[in-house]
Amino acid sequence: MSRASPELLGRLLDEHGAALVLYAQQWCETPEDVVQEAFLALVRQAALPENLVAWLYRVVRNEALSASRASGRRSKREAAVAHAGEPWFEPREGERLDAAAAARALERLPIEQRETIVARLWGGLSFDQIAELTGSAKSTVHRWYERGLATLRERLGICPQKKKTGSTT
Amino acid sequence: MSAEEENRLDDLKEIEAALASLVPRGDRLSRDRLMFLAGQASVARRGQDGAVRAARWAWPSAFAAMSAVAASLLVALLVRPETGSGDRIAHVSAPVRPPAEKPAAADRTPASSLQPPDSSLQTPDSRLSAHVQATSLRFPPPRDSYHELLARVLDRGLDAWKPPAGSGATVPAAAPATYRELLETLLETSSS
Repeated sequence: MSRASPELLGRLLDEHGAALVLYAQQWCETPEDVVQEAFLALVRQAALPENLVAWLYRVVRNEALSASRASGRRSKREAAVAHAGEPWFEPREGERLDAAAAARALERLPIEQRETIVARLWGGLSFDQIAELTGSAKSTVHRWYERGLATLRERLGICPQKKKTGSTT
Repeated sequence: MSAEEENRLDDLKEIEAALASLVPRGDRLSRDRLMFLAGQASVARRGQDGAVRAARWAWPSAFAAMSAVAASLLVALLVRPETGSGDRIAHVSAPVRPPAEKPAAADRTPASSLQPPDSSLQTPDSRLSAHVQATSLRFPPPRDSYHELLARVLDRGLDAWKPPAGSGATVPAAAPATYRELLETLLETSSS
């Protein structure tokens, strides 16, 4: 298998760069550096991995965890100041959800639920890939996903649609 | 999957779709910087690959070269030609001396003179003469050599000097080859 070409690198960057940054942001304060290192690690690979996207997410996860441990010496106050007010999503008019409110609600979720939702919704990974990524069972990952979405729905005030029933009383 | 689970998933479809409509920020990554660093990493990787390839071949090459040198040295040791550089033991037979001329009858020493003289009656010169003579008996000098002449002169004085050839002195036909023959010759000379 060939190595990463500049065209492939640009395409991966366009399609998955932003989601990877959002994924890395769940652990560390320097997600851009982590994603950049992941892409450079891909360039250094002698042969391309089987599943490029899943491989990138795995590398980003490991790098972000390492960066999180390295930055653990920094005080929480410094980290809070450094990342206060950085929006996770691009603000767009006419969205059903307020992006900042969604980011705040997402940030309050447990890390495993947050990671699963980000990898599933914006990363496009399957539950199998997320299970392999996190080293958990697929059913566990599915449960995290459901619980996270339910919590977000409550916090964001989105009411479920009424199901149409065949008979009325 | 039960109906309750299906209902729960259907309930989550709406929030799932709403969240999926959000777009993560794409301006946080510098595309130009990343491509530049990727080019650098690619060049470094090529250099590293070359170094790894060279390191992979270095030891086998060195091993093969050393083995070839050792094998060639072994072959050279086994098939090397005989050279004269080593130590050799040469057996050389001693040359047979031609028989010396017999001394003149007047110069022949009596047998008693070969006996070691009494040291108390001898002068240092005579003792030296006796010593030289005894030595010359034990280690026979070559005939007509300087030693023989010296011993004779020291023993009997300058009169014992052998006259040069052609001066009328008698020359024996053949000189004794051994001391025993010499002794017998002397005894015969003295008895006659």
